[in-house]
Amino acid sequence: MGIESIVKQLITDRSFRDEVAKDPDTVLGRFELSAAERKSLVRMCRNMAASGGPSSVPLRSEGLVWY
Amino acid sequence: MERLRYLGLVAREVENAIAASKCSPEYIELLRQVLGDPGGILSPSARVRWGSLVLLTCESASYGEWRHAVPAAAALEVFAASLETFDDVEDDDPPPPWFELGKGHLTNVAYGLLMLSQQCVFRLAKRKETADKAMAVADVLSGVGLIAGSGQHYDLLLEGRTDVSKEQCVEIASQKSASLVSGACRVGALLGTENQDLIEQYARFGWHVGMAAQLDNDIEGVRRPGKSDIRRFKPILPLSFYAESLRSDGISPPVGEVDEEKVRRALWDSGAIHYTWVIADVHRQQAEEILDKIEEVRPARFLLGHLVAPEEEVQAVRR
Repeated sequence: MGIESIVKQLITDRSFRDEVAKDPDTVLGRFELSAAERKSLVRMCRNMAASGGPSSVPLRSEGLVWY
Repeated sequence: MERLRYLGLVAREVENAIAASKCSPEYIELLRQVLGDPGGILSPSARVRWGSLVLLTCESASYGEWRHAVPAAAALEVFAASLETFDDVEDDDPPPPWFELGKGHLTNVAYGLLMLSQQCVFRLAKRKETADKAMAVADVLSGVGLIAGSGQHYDLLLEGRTDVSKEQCVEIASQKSASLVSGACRVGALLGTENQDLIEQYARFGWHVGMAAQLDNDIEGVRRPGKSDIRRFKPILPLSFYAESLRSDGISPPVGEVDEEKVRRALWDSGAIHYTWVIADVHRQQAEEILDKIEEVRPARFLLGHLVAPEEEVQAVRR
């Protein structure tokens, strides 16, 4: 499963999300991901847990690039 | 605050470059008006954006010296304002409300800003301590300007198409935006050190920061009603992901006039927003890794760490 499919499953499957949040190394370790990708997916899961679901993403309030 | 001091010095440098030109008062007024747009270097709400990358990188690379890089910071600010103005015209965005003349005039102002940025580089050449670096700065600016033009070419060419791949979107973001941020960091670094390996590291750091910033910006572009990214189906990562998701479900992506609100909801539901965020976050982490390497030999985290701030320090945006 590629990162695209993992993201899709994370936003639609709450139990998968909980599993990743609880034991990211084991669950995400099954997939071919870089360390940075794994870390970002975990951050995303934790953000979803904190905000109650996949309805927000943490975004920098001020970008550097405007077009 | 040191960074506020940056702001005043860069703005003064831009004003001096304008004053030294032999332009008519009317044309000078137009240049000032564009640079005085909200957030612009000559506006009351000015933020040093591109210029701050130059100064902070220079300060880091040189163990604390940055004043000699002010003309280069001014050049970057004016250069970026020029590209943004050209971009607005090319994208057929409405001109600023205060701009009563036609688009031809706005193009001519963008051209003037481009020339003014060169004048800022020449001011660097006229100073004894930076004369030998001015050619290298001009080389970086024209080089990244060409790459940005190439990215803009593909951006315009692929607009409205629903078959643009994620890789193409990433390449456009790299050429249009990341190259400029990388260039700003390279300019600051080369004014701060002779160490070529270190200069490359700052440039790579800037490239990742630029990628992350552009992808954040792409999320903003599709998240906010009123932006034209969805309507024009711009070649950006969230829209490419969404179109690809539809195709993989056997559904044809929308063509022609789209229901923007429906697409906006679908971007959240399909994971397009989240996927784009993950890719941006990966770039932030890569930038952070490079910063850690630089930190081994130069003070870097204190000066540039805010550009890769962890999520706790940034706001959450909701659907």
